[in-house]
Amino acid sequence: MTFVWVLIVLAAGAVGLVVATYNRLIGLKNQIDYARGAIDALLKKRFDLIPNLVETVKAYAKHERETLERVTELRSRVGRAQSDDERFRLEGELSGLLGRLLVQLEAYPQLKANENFLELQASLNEIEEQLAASRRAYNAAVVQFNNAVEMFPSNMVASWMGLKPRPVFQAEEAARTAPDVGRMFGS
Amino acid sequence: MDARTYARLRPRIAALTRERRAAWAMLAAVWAGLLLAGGGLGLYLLRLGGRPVHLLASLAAAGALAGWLTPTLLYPFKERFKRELVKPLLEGSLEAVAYAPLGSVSVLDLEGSLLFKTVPPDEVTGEDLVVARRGEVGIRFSELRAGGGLRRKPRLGGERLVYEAPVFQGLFFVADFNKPSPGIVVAYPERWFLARPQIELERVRMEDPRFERLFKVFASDRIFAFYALSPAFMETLAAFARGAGPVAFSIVYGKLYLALAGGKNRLEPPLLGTLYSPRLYQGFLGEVELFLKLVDDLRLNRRIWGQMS
Repeated sequence: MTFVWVLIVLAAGAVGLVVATYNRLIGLKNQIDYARGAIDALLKKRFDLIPNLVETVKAYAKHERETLERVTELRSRVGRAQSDDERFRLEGELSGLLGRLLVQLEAYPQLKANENFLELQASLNEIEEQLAASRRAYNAAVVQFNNAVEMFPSNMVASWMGLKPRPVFQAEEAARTAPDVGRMFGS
Repeated sequence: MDARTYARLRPRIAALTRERRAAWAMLAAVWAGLLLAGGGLGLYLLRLGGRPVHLLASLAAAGALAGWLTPTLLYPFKERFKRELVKPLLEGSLEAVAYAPLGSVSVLDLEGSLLFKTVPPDEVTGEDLVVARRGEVGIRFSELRAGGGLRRKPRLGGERLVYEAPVFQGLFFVADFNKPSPGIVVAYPERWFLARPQIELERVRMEDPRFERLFKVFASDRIFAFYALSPAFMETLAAFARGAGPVAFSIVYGKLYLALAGGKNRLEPPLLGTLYSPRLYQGFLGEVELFLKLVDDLRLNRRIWGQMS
């Protein structure tokens, strides 16, 4: 009789452990999805700001036509991207290009007097900061998730659930440092 | 403290050294006068047929009176020390500095920071209030003591006086958080005055393991926690926590709070020893500089942000 009770207690413990691990893995997966959603929302915001920026700048900065065209082209390629990975890669390139463009615009003091440009500059800078925070949150969530998926005993539940390690977000070389345009313009 | 500020302060320090000497002379005269008067009264009582205990009681009463008067006699020196030195010391790194020796940050700030449990307003006392600006950022800070002291507690059918540790004692900073701040972040060490914030917040684990070992982070939104706690910010906070002791931090709807726990008043002038040593002022200045570095790390010093909807 005692043996049966021991078996029941052990089975109940095992079921409890599986349920707790299952819930934890779902929680970690949701954290990744949440951070990914935030990145998407911010990229969409930036995507919508680019036509405004190009329109505002092209009247003042005629010598930057080539860069502006490249920004416009990259933006449309982002819109046509076939996969998330390709889209994130192109967004990274766009980040770097926008940073460089804003640095080059330093040579146009009349732009600094344009209220619309200043607002765009502030918005883009803020979006870059929020993007950087969201990517860090995403990567932190992915590291926790991957640890849970690969470590014993949670890896057994993860494999039963069909969960696989996720790749962390790798910034493009050009996008690794978000442009601090406010400081460059001395605002 | 830079050399120019120190050179500017030297004449004031010389005047304060003289004032401290005068305060000591006055104190010695008061003690000597009162002890002589007490001794004389005791001897007179002995002559009238009193016992030695009367002599001792007279001396003790004189000593107690002198002890009671001592803080009052030293107060003008302490007050002048703070008035003469605090403002010029801070003017090197802050603008529009106003200093009130008897003022303190509001009890509402203390509660709003979410770093401590609620304390009745009459149990919050403070001194050395500084109100200033760093560019566009409004800043205020003061020494603060909240709660604690002797309390009557029921025990075995009666009452007993029990000493309770203060809810917080130390330096408390408040600054404007000039960014779109759609949330709350609270970070404090493992051994702090609270185990968990008193409102429902999510425990967030940051990616920096050194920071994670030193602080527990709670936030209303995990992405906002990463937004507020940039790698540079975490590094500054962790370096300070390792060097100077318990430090806690929060951002709550447009305000940034920093609490540095510690019983000692950083601005209390020494009654003995030199006033010329720059090390006397470095501790306080170092803590103010830490706060300003955090403000700068967060780039709050520019009001160029628009609300992102």
